[in-house]
Amino acid sequence: MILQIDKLRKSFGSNEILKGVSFSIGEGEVLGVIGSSGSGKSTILRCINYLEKPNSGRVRFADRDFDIETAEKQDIRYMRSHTAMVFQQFNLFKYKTALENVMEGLLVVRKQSKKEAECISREILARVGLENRMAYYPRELSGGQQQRVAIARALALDPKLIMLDEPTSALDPEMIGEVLDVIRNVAKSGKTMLIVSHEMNFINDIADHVLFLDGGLIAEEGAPSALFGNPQQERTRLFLRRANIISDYSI
Amino acid sequence: MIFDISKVFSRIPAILRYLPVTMELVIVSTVFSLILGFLIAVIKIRRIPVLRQLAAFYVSFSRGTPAIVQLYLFFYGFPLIFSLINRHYGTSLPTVAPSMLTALVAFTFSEASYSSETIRAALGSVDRGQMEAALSIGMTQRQAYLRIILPEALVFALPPFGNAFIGQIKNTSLAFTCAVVEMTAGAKLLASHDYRFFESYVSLAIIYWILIIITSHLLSLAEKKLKRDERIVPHDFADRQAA
Repeated sequence: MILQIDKLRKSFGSNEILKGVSFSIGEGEVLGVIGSSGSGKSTILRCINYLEKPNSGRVRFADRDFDIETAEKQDIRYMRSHTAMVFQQFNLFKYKTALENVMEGLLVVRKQSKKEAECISREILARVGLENRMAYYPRELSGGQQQRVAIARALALDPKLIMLDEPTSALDPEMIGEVLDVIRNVAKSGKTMLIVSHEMNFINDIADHVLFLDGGLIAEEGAPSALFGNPQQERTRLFLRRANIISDYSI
Repeated sequence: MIFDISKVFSRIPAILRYLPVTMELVIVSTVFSLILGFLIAVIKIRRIPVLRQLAAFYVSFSRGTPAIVQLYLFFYGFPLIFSLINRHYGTSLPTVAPSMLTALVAFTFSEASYSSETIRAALGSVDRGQMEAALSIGMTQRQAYLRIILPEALVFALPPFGNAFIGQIKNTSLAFTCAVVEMTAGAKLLASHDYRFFESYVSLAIIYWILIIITSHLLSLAEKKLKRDERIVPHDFADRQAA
């Protein structure tokens, strides 16, 4: 187990978003999270790296084991520096080139030399197919290219876990494919991933295990073939049917 | 001669001898007002109790009164406070306000209220996602501010800062009210020798005007430099990159 989350709870004011969610991810595994908007999918990711402060629960991550309520600064720092996140809106550093975006973490967090950082970053950008966009600023790149830079930025730090928060939801349809291809390659290379997505076919394709989240709880989970092929719960069936109707139209 | 144009030109170098005083007023008060403004902006953003109310009171007062009135308050207020302190503690602080210092303090205070609002707006203008991205790759809050947030905020803040700076150049002409001899006071003094007031003020106007044209030009150069992502990419750029 690389990550184990126990009874994760999170409220915004009186609105309880996560009502005790427990799951785990094995090394090299891809965990998919699906569910309707507002079900708390993104909040799970954001609680893991403390972009949102969770209320309670227990985290076991690599060799760390701590209770969220008594988490110390070093625990938070450990989580952030050993995970990486890919955001729905890319969130590339606006005034840094593609190359500088990828180098930033290596320079500032890993304290590597400029030369080393540049060497690694060039190689990773080439891996996501952007060898000739290194000196471009985010506003000079298409959405798909920006998201590939963001994935490269996440990969550069060689994190123990990569979290992707609806990585294709803000993209034009013709750019979804190139980003999904990159993610698929990352998964094949053996990276542990936690991915929230509305792309049911894609999740079905790359995930080892899928959680269906509903109203802040895991309503159903299992292998993708079981969950998508033969859902046990009525609300899972309902959700999948709605998701499918939409994709039927887009075909 | 009713209007002596040659006087206008001959007076320019004479007035320019007071330019260093004007620039000292502008630069020193701008630097300190940025520091003070930043502190006030942080107090407001962090919602620090007590200090926040004090800051709000100060900003409201400073923006609600003319700069010249504030100069008078400092100019006549300092001696009053100093002589009170002298009487109570037996010290011998000066009971005539040191004019340059008074002007600097007054300008700093009147300017800081505006810069605090600019800084607050600039920090608020940076997309939240930038901070989240920085934290998500393991940067500390401090690193994120220094390397990502502040440089982005500066791009937003530069035009209003530039306007304030230009406004401040013109505001320094008020400093003569507390006996600082800068360019305006200098022009007045020079005119009192030959009664060529109009010529003297025409020279003065020309100097201010040119000074501000140069400043605006430098500011727009700086702005272009900061907005480095808004450039025109040559067609063969990608190919040269790959090579």
